[in-house]
Order: sequence, then structure tokens, then C-alpha cells
Amino acid sequence: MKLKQTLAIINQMQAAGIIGRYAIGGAVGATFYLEPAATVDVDVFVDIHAPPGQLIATPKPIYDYLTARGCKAEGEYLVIEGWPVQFLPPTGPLVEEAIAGARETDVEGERTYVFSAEHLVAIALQTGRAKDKARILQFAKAGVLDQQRLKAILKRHRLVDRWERFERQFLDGES
Amino acid sequence: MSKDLSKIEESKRQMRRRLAALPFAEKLRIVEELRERSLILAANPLRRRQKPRAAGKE
Repeated sequence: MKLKQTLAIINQMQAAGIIGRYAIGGAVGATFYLEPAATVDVDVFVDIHAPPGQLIATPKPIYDYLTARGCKAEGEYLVIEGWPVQFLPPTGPLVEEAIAGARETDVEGERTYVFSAEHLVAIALQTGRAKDKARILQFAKAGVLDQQRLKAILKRHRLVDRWERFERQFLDGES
Repeated sequence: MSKDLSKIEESKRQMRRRLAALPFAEKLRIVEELRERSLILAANPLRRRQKPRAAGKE
């Protein structure tokens, strides 16, 4: 499987110290909990730190590491074993927490990390595009969410109002 | 909702549940197949955007 090889290279990059913790989000991350969905890319959220002596974290080491190993850059993606991968730094405390609390799993023996279902929902709620809302609905209907855990995350990241609006708009009357 | 539609909806729910219960690796294999299909469809010349027709030329 190509995706297994993609993950293997990301793990090698982590072992080489180029990236710290990472976690898969987006459609591939959601697939851990839901039915498989079509997607063209893999979203990998990475804990990028500023190099010693510098103030700003940059994805350049990732780019350099992967292009030196034959991966091509295409727009905002780096193509690893045929899969366009987008490396995303944490955009705020919610994503930082999601990376720190990611679930460890494996794909045919290759270790990897996936956001928790509750963090995927909270991030989708924060992002708020139509496709994010559709994904939240999928999670809600699949019954895979730990409601207590989700509510705690929403509260910590001041997303309760947004969640209540979402519930009123899309979940009222759903069983 | 009519009885038939409810039946269809329930059958879809079951299918989703079945797929969601597959091992992660198995689901990723399906994701890869779906992606292959999407790429084939996207490369089809029939899908290339056509220029809008000029007014009155339909």
C-alpha cells in the first residue's frame, strides 16, 4: 500500500529529528473512525519548532529532507510515494493539543498517529467550511464521539457557542 | 419519509457502519482506490471545462 510507504517516510523524518510529534487529520484522519471517503491528499499536522538561535519556525527542513530523497514539491504539497502530503503547523492551541493527544495506531505494522475523533470534530467546527460541517455530521451520526470529552475540548477552546449553533442548525430532531 | 425511503436510508446506515468497522489499513486501501478513480475521472478529456457559449447561439 502506497500510504503505508508514505507514513514510513514521515516516520523516518521524525526519527531523524526533522519533525517532532505529528498527527494525521483531514479526511484520512477521519477515516480512522468513519467509513472511507475520497480524498486527494493527506493532511499531516506537525509540531514544528524554531531552530536553535532562531525565532520563527519554518517548514524548510521538511522540504529539504524530502526533496533530497526524491520527493517533488507541487504547490503546497510534497508528494511522498505518490501521495500529496500537506504539512501543517499548529494554527493555535486547539491543534497543538490535538497533536499532543493524538492516538497511536499502525497501518500494516507502520506506526502512525491520528487526531482523536473529538479533536477532529472541534477542529472542523473551528474551521467551519461546508465540508467540515458535513464531516461533523458524519461523526455525530456515527456515534463515535465521547460527548464528555468533546464538551471539555469545546469549553477549553471557547467553541461551545459555535457548537450550540451547529446543534440547533443541523442536529435538532436527529436521533 | 415513505417506507421505501426509510428502508434505503437504513440500508445506507448499515453499509456505513460496516465500512467504518473495517480495520484502518483496510479503509486506507479503499481510500487509495477511491483516489485512483478520482484521478482517472479528472484526467478524462470529456471533463475539461467547456467555454461558455455566446448568447443566442444555443
